[in-house]
Amino acid sequence: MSGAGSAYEPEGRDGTPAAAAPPPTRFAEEDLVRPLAGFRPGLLVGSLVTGALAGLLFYCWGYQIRNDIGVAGLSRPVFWGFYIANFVFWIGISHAGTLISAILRVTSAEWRRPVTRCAEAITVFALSIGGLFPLIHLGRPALFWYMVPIPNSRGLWPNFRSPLVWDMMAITTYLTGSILYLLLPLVPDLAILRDRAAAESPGSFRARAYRVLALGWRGTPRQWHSLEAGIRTMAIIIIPVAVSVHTIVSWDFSMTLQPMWHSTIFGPYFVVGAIYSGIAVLMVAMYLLRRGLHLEEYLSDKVFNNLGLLFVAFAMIWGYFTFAEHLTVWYGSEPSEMRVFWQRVRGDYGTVFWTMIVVNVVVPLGVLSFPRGRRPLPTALVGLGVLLGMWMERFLIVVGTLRFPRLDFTVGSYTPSWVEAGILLGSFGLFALLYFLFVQAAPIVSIWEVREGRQGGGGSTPGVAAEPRRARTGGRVHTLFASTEDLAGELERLGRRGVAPGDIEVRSSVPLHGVPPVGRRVRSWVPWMAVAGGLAGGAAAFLLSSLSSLAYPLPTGGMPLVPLPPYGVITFEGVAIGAILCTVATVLVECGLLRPGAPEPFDAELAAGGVVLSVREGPDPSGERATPVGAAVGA
Amino acid sequence: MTRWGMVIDTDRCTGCGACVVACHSENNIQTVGEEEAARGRAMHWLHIERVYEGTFPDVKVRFLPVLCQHCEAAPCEPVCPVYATYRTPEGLNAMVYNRCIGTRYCANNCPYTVRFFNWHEPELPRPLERQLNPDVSRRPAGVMEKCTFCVQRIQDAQIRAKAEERDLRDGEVRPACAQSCPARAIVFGDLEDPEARVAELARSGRAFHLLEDLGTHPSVIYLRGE
Repeated sequence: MSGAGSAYEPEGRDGTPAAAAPPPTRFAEEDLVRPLAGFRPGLLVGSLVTGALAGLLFYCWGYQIRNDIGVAGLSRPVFWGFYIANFVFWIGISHAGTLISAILRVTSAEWRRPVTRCAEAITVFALSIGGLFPLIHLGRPALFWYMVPIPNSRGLWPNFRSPLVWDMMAITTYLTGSILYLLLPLVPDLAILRDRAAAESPGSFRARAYRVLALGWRGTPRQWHSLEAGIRTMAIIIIPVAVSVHTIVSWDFSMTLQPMWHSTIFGPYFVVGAIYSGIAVLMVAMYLLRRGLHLEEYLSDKVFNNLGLLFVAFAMIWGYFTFAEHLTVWYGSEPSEMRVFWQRVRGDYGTVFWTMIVVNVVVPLGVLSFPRGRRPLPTALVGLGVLLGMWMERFLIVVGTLRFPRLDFTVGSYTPSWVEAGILLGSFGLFALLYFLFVQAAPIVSIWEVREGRQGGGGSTPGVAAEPRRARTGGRVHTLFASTEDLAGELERLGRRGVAPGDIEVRSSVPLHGVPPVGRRVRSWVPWMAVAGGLAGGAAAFLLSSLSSLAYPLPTGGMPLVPLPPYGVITFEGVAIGAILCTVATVLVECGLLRPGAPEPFDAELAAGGVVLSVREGPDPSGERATPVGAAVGA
Repeated sequence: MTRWGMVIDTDRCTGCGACVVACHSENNIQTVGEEEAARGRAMHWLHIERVYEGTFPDVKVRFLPVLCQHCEAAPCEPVCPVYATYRTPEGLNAMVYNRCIGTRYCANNCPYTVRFFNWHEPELPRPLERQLNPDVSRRPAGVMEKCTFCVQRIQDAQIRAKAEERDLRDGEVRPACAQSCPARAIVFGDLEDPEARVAELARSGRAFHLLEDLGTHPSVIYLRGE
């Protein structure tokens, strides 16, 4: 390929002036792309340190695989320990992103714009690490695929009544959904990076990589309309999915008969705790990003203030749930529950319990209730405390109950081994490593969303000269506008001249609002396809679970072969995954993506925020060459 | 239809522990050694618990052999993601070692805490490998195990009866624990057969279940002491 330079070669036909050599484009969001430009020492050192910690995780895991699960400090009756606490903790953290960003998007909160991407990335990485823990926890990890419904000749089939199978389906759905939800809004940003790289360093690895990753995004109104519909639909689907994920994680405990696990409040309690710890990680991550990458302009004090307020609300909700849970147990004072209760409140784990209350309720309310407390540094410190507290909560729930089984002949004890401690420490390293790498591969603050918010979808662009410029390639005439008003005027002129709408293409780096549509009104099938996909996915999941249970008739726990309530959970996840996949597939088809295109004129200016109108040149009805857009450009 | 069950008379139990030893040797249960046992990793499919009645100095000790209760509505079964434990048509709570992937969820949901996990690969100091029971497979590391009601003996008796073209006789199947109990506190048989000794004892006014209020409907019935 020839690189972007060729697009600017003068055409000179018809005496039309060729595009002038492009003036150096000023890029308003330079701060956001700087981390991508090369190896900054800070990021390199950070990646190495976190990489070493991540290595610790895999070393310890390898050691455990080699020497059996017995190297963990588990025993009877404490069959679950750190690994399950970590699992719940990391899955909880994954609610940072997708859920918070989805709620903020659905409610059109303007201050979400710089937050969404870094939150969604937290989700993807935390979820991947959380999903690793059940595997680490297994006695025979190599056989984990027995849980997956793969037809085989060994008579193996998953038991859809088990909350662990629900877990697997919910986490798979959520991981798929949150990866796609991270990638969808990333496509226009990758296109911006592609266009910049093509102008700055054509042929470089970076330029070629972004060309593939941008999937051939052009930024036409059709594409924008479909993408925005897709993002909106995904945001709506992902909220109930996220709620279902942590509800199902809580059901791992509350479906049992164990004292202080068998509680109906666990679903909402866990979801609230998950969002709470999610916001905590988000605050810490945002603080580090702001300091490390100098993003004060984007991750502003206002963002921290607003998240701080949200944090106060969740501190209160979490405190309320904790109080309600313990009050109920204490008031009912069933002996088997009281044994768990007392050791938690004033027994061995009393210190852990009260530390948790202090860092999760007292400190957040005490600090963040005041505007001065909602500045970045104190907010991040409070967030660190809440992370500690939320991990403690999971530990108390998992181990606290298991130490005191119902038949009170056995009292368990639990001391984690160095392997478990190393894996916990390493999981933080792995998370930080993945995050560091992501920050170096994609803009951590969404460029187009911030730009859209700043421009309100119109007005002039600081990085592009006000005077429209023009270039010609491949039988099309491209005109660059700095403002949407000029574009709207030109579109109107073309319409009056009778240029076919199919010959006109508008490209922009942000969705253009307030520009008259070219041709027929753009419609997107995304919401309807999501509904269709949801119905199909739900039906498929229900049939899979119920029919396979009839074909594999193993009774468990005195339940009917096709128990409807548990299979409702499976059906719900089927609805969600069907809707998610259909939404994304529809966006891909409607946008005509997956076809990487060649560079075109004004790419760099387009990336900087300009708007490009290109019109196909062709014989007009009078038989002469149509004069495209010349009038407006002032030829 | 058969429903295997067991009656344990706490009035007869002397707490001698013969059943525990018999169970170990019949079922090739690994002995984990002092250190591991101290960490709570000892594996006794059947273990004898002590129950104290009254207050000092008027104290009476009773013994309660605790083993898998083979519940009709077993909480351990539905939580297993891979059907490694399920209910057989003959009322056994079966454990399929080959399917087990070691989530340990079943053990967490067992209110009786009678499931045991192989934390390490079993090791036998020589020459103990020579006393292994060839009818029972050994379990590798990472697998859950528990009392099977000596299913190998049930199958053996059933095959024998079939070969001789007759029905199973009451008392023909005796698990290792019942066989070795010097006080004859343990009786095993078909609870569905009204003539069977086990069914007769189960109808006794002294009969009770462990944690009866949980609704797990165990197949092990205890007889209260006088």
